[in-house]
Amino acid sequence: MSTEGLTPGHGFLRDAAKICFAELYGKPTMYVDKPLSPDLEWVPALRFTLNSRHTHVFVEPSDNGPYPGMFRMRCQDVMCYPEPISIYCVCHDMAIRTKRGQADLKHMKSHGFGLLTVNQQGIAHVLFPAIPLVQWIPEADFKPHLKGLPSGICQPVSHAFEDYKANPTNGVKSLSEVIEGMITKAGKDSAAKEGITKEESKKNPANVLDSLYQKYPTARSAIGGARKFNSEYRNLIHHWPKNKKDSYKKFNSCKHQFLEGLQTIQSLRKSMKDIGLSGNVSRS
Amino acid sequence: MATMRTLGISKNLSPQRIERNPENPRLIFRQDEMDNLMFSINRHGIQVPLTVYQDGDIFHLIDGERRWRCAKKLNHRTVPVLVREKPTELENLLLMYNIHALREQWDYFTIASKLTRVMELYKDNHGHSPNEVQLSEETGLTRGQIRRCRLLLDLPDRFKDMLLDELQLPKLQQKLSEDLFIEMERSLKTVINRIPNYSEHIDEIRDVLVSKFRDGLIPAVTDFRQLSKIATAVDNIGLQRQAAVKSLDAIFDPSSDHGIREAYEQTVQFGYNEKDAARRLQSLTEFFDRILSENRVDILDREFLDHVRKLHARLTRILEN
Repeated sequence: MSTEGLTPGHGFLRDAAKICFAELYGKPTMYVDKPLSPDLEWVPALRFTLNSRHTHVFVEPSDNGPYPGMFRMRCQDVMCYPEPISIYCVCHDMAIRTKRGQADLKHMKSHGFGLLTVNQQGIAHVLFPAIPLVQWIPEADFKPHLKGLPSGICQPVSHAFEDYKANPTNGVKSLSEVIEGMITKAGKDSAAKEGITKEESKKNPANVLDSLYQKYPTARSAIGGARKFNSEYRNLIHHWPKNKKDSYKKFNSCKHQFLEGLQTIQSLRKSMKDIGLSGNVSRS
Repeated sequence: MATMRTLGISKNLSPQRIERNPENPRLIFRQDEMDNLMFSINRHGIQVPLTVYQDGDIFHLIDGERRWRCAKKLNHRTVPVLVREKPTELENLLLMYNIHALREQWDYFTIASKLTRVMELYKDNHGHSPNEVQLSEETGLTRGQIRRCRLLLDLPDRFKDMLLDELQLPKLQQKLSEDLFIEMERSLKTVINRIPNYSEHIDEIRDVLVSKFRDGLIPAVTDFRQLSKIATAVDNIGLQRQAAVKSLDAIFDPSSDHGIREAYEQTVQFGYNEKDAARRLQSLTEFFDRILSENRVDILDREFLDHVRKLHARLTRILEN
């Protein structure tokens, strides 16, 4: 019998996950019960590296529900570890049919963990994917930023968050498009009220921001914030990570950039309304 | 129990230098208890040192396999240990029983797996096999536990392997259990005692019963108690032996979808109910006699008398038939 793992059932689940990931990712080198680093106090049942994404993947079996205790214990340590790590639980498909299983499933999904379920025949499949924990933004941190926003802004921001969870760079890009839409709208509103000229309002968002900055001294703080977001976003998307440490930094920057973008939207909207503009997003 | 001298050498060791005790009969660890222990070790560390003995470069566990597994999972560099003198095989086995079995409920298969070896070594040391009482004293197990273990021990190897394979699956994936085999073996013993012809085909019968259990034709392990009752019905309720055999044949036939419950209901359930009713009637008759002998008819309450009248009406119908 297997002496590895916490319980004898873990070997069955781990092996099913191993076959599933080998098929999904072209047989990466898999490590069974091998620590990633002496600094990380967790020896995952299975781990491998996705070289294309410079990301480690940890897999932990669970006999009971889909949220093993280890996830709660080491979530913070994994986020602080200087290389991106995605974490999957593998459990029997019956385990998610219980009331507790459903509640655990909901929590783990919103916490950025992935899940594999194994059927009676021992075949595993991915129910939902994991994201590197360093890029994880809790729903509780995201939702307050939607407060007070009209649906015209709320919806694209929510879509950007969905994009972010699948690919953080795309998420930040989608959010930056919302901010650009708000800048364009502010330019149009201002031109209609004879604030800046029509020609100025038709330029690119950076130039529109410059014009608005000159015209509305009281809104300079918010306009400066939008300007900073735009320039940092460009830096971010042009930097391609070469290794796991770069990748960790990029994921981390994406997270901060996304959160900053959310704040920028709120402050830009408020400032635009304060100076008599709509604070909405351009539809074009 | 055999005693051991303690060297009492306390030190810190890498968990990688420790191996599980080859004689530890405990095979099954539950996720909940392991998670709880891991939380505790994560927060407070290992408070009680593991007990090990040294064998060459390797240290074998005497006590603390769960703590050791958790420490490995938590990537602990060292764990506190107490090194003891290497025990003899019998000392080692008896230590396992006395340390573990008394502390928490073990699975029967876990206990049974090493009990045969304990009995062999006991015989070597004492010149005779231990009886149930001696085995109970040595291992700390109750006699009931030992009897249940023996039912599992007497299973042919392939059924033991089948059970072990099943026990290693995650809990939700397990269909067969120790209880199934214990109940099945108990009932088959009764069947063979009453109808010895079945002993020639006992393995095929086990296969059919396990297969019917897996397929849901035998929905509960307690159904096996009804199998015993069919076999004992010849003596207990006067069922014709041929009828009992016919009913059991249908259960043991791999091509039929007959479960134990259906066979019981069709063959002997009414007979047992009748026997049970006769016992109750006897008790009731004795109570009526007491009413009459103590002249208490006048003080009987109305509800009781209503029931007696209803009973009288039914009895009249039955007796007139």
